[in-house]
Amino acid sequence: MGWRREAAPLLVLLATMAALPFLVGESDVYLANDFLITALFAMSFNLLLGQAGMLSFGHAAFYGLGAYTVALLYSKLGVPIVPGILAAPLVAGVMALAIGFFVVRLEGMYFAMLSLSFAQLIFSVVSSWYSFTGGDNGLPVSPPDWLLPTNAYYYFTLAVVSVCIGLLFLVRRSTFGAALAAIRENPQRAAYLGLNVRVYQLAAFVLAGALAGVAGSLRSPLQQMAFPSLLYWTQSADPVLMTLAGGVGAFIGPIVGAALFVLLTFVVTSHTDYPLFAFGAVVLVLVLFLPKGIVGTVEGWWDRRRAKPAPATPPQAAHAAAQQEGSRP
Amino acid sequence: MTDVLIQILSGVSRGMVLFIVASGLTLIFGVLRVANFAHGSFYMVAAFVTYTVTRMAGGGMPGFLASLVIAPLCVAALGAAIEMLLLRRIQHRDHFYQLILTFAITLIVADGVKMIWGRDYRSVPRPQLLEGSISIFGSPFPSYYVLLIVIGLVIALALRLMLERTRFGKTLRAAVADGEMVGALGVNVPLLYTGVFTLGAWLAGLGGALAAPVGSIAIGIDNSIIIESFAVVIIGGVGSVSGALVGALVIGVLQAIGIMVAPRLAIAFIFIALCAVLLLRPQGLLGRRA
Repeated sequence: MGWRREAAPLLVLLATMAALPFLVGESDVYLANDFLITALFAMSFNLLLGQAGMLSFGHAAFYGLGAYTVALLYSKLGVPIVPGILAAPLVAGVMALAIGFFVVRLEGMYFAMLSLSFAQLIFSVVSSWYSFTGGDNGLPVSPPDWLLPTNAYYYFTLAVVSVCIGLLFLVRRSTFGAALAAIRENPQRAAYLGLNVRVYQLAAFVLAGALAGVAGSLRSPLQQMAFPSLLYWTQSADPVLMTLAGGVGAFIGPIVGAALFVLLTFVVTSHTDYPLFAFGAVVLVLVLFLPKGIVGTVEGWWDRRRAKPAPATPPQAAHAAAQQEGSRP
Repeated sequence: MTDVLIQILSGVSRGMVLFIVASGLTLIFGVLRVANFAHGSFYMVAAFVTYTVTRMAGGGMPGFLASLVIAPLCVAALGAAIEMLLLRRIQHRDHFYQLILTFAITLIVADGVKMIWGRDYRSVPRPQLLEGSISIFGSPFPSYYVLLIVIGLVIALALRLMLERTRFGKTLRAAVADGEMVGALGVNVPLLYTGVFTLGAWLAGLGGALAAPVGSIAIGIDNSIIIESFAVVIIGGVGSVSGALVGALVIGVLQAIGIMVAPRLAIAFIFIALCAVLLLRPQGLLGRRA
């Protein structure tokens, strides 16, 4: 796929998000801010799943670590939040290096389970170490005066998230990204070609962890609080579900998934007391009927429409290819 | 010293409940190759059904026995429906999708339980006969915990006999070892899958019904039991019922000792054990390398 086709929707989205505070009210800007942070969290996860084929079930650990880095630096040492946000990817990245060193030794379901267990280990430490993290009570964070207005913090988030997603875009198109894709498609072949598979996987794990840390570090000032639930395993399921909803294979898939979930949460929680029920039903429908996600399905439909005049691929081959793509984790 | 013994024994009784739940999970994982997140939901639903049944029956021994029969059966029916109506439709897709599907079910059930039973904590009384305690070297040990240990052992023995003596059990073991071959040899695979999933759900339900009179029942018990059960399955080895017994006892006792040594970090002990097993012996203590 050409880079223009992948970059164009991103630029349109950036322009829309930049114009948003002029078009909608303050509460909607807050919601959009939530979306930006969630989108970065999901995008950092898809570097693992979509690009490298690694299903991590412990990604919330790094998200939560980012949030707590800001909160701890602020409440224990009085460090303002901006240096805190710069420190967050370092802390999350170092932790991802330590955990990744172990988890990349395993594959498939075992990789998922080990990443889940390490994340739960960190969660249990954070939620029970009252004297340091405040335990279940959480830790307060206050942004400085210049970041307190909703719009100011929104533009700050937009800038940070755009830089991070731009970085992910470059990574996807780099030789490093190509190597990850090769490992995803066939780790054995990649190893025969001379790639050190574990080193590449570890590098992806660290980068994804660091970027999840950035997302988390933006989250705690938004809510003015860091909570242990940011690290709980159900939080790790969120980027998995968003990526699935948007589309694993498409670069902007997780962004679309995040938008869907943030909007759904907003709509559902303001109308019923049972948001999980609605989420579950939506995910169920997506898994059963749209395995390629929203973006994947739309792209497939668009390509078929454009290919109609000249049936280049026989329908059977196209069907087989679609099935293969659909079966890829 | 007796304190430590009593603590270990209560760890064993907790481990037995965990074993009953996790044995179902390990069979499903071993045969269908699905990490069934909904297993925790089965456990939770059974606990709430137990609450309703014992309330309706008045809390005595008959109510307790009735709930032990009814709750696991309800959950088994739920499991059979989920397997036949949902999981089967995406059987041939990547396991990732099946995992997500079972996760979606946990979300739906979590709110479903809230709709039916509300958000309050519930407790189920123990029948009078099991309310007291027995004396072990002069220290009291709840009789209900003795019952849990006995039932755990009975289930372990029954599962072992089923796996070794019956045709279903033999086919099941063959499917754990090599799923494709079992299909090639003419076994009715869809029926086997439904059977295993239903049995697994029944075991989760039995665990939930037995655990109901210990502590209290609340929203969220599904999230904690499923993580502990996954830990048991991984430690013991996927598809191995004896592995699940060993894993459950390790976790039950480790947690009980952890509570004595460092109460707040007791959960951390489980994950340290789990990480150690995954790194040193990824196939689990009693599992075979795939």
